[in-house]
Amino acid sequence: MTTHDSDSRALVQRIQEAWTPPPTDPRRFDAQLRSRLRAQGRQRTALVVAAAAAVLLVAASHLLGGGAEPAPTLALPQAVEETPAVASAGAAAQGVFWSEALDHDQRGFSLPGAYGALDTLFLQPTDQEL
Amino acid sequence: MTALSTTAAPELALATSRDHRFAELVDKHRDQAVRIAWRLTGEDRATAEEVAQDAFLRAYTGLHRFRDEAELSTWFFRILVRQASNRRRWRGLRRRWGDLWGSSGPGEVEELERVADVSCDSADPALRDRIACAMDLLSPGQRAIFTLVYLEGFTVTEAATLSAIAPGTAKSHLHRALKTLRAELEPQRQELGP
Repeated sequence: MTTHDSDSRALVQRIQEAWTPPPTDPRRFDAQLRSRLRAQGRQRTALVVAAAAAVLLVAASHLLGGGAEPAPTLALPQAVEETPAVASAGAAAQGVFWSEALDHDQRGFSLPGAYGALDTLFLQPTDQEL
Repeated sequence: MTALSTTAAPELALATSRDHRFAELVDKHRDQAVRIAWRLTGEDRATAEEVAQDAFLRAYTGLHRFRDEAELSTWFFRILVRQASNRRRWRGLRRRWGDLWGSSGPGEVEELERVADVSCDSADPALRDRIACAMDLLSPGQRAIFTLVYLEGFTVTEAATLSAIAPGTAKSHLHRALKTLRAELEPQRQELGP
């Protein structure tokens, strides 16, 4: 064994002896661990119950409302299209949309052009609003 | 038998083999787990116990998936080393966050106070503090490998497995750690040496 090795061994041994944590009380440690295990078990149970309740709720709503009409919001686009002012504005804007989106020098689709067209489509006031 | 098993609540009665195995694991490795957590995190005993308990809880949760392809203790210590590493990383992040924003909430103050009360700047720190300060100079990888091999008696291969690194990297960590510690603790050779 070299001096270097024996020095290292002595150093390690001293570190081992001097650098140890205060002793742990096994009873307290186990009691804490048990308490945390129980808490974990309760959390899991609560999660399972919540998941089961959610599934039951979805199933019940499906059974009770199975033949219901679609939600009113689904019919909204059609209702909007039916307004003459909106329909004409939409038709005009559609033309603007594609022409602006095709860029100034006809090279193809451009994002600024598309944004401008979208502004025209959704933000321009109709004649009625004016 | 273990305190965990003899005083277990009814719902934790050791009816299943999993519970029995777990009780044995806790009983056999409790002290070493706390000691490793303490040495790897560099924090106080309460935090080390918390980290060890976190590892035991994870082991309990995953015990049914353990396939006996490795030693149960190796599997558990791997979880423990990862928990300790996460703890250190999390503490580092919180410190950096505190430095960046210049303030810390009450929870963060409490959290930072849990770091072992070590004074590295003191003119004449206690031997224990000097060792702790020297250990803080090691990289997390060097610290883990040095602790596992030299202080806890694992082989280099086992320590590499526990830290999820290659044995060659572990050897390199070990060499550099020893070099740093020798340099840092050289002035205390008289006190440290035989």
